[in-house]
Amino acid sequence: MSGCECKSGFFSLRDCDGAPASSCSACGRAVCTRHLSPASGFTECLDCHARAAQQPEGEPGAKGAAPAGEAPLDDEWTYGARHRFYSSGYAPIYAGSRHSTYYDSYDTRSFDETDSGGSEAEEPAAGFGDS
Amino acid sequence: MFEALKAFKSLSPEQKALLETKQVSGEFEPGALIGLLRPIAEYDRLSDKSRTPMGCSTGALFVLSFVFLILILNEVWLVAPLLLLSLGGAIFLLVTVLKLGKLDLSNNFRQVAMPLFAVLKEDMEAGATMNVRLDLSAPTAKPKKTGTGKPYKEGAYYKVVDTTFVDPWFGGGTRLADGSLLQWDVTDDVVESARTKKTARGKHKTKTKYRKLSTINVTIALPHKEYAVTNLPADEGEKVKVRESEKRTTLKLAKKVKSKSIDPIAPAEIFDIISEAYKRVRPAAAAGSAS
Ligand SMILES: [Zn+2]
Ligand SMILES: [Zn+2]
Repeated sequence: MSGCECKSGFFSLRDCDGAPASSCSACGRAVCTRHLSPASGFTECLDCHARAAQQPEGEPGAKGAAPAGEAPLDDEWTYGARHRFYSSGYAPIYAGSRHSTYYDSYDTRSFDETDSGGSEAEEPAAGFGDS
Repeated sequence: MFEALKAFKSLSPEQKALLETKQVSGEFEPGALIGLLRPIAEYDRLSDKSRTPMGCSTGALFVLSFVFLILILNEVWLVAPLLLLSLGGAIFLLVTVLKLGKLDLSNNFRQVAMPLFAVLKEDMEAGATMNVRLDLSAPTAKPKKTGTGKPYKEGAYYKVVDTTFVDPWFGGGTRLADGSLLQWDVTDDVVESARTKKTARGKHKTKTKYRKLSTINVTIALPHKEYAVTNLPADEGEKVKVRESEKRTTLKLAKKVKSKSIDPIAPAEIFDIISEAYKRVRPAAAAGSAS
């Protein structure tokens, strides 16, 4: 595994071909500059920062909506929206071959997952399996 | 209100032109499109916010001018400069309110379209473009009016007049990074209902209410190379049609969203309907294991 370990994409996840610039202080993955969260002071990946930022609200079933048109709509926003969307019931699909367990908490449908019959994916992920 | 004026002054000529025509159409890189529209959205938000207080201040200044005028007529000359000041201010505000009012935009573009651009950007190759047709004008703009019904009675309202509007405000298409071809359009059918009743004190009062039906159509052609189709029934309020061709599976999805206001739909309504297509496929490599 030589590239950035974050996945790009919203409806479907795909590998990022960015060169790792740092590692995320939360998940330890190797991350390219684009996937480092500016809001975290470039210490966490966008995914981890989005998950941490969502924790307090955690409104179950909330549609992954933007707050009334004032959102900056930058990568930070997109990864927050992505986290909300996946947490509200959409299991993303990943058609690549570099399966990452990081996204298993979203019940990501990858080759590995679907191949095994997907029975172990029932377990809710920490942090948002509250319903 | 000065914020709104400042925001207007800082717009580029291209952005000011968009405010005039209220039509966006062409091929755009989503990040650049957000950059182009964001200052317009910000200006619109500020002008929405400031219009009511400005209207009130305008009224107050005209009343004040009238008071000064009475005083002058009673030979209190001292207030003459004040009259000029308040009248000048009132006229300036009136002109500004009218100008801001004329530029009133639909909230759809900043609350629905822009979040969709940001989301699609994440699913597109860096630098790829999308085709966009976006109408920034208000859903009840005159050209969108399709008819006015005959007045009727309903409960306490002795006169109800319904005006209908059709607002095909949003459409577009693009190629996503996974090779899928996506097309979408959103049309709002709006009924504006002006309801008049007589209050207990004998006054006639008119209220305006809205009903809206948003129709979201999404067509997405998913490449066989990446995805294999699985079967799933459509959710409530949704329609799904599947067509196979040599290279792709094309899913046509439609969804209707009803609301009792003219406020924009949640952008997630569009995310949801696009995701319905992806829920119906699995990674192609795993297709053989499906039972
Ligand atoms: Zn991380
Ligand atoms: Zn990356």
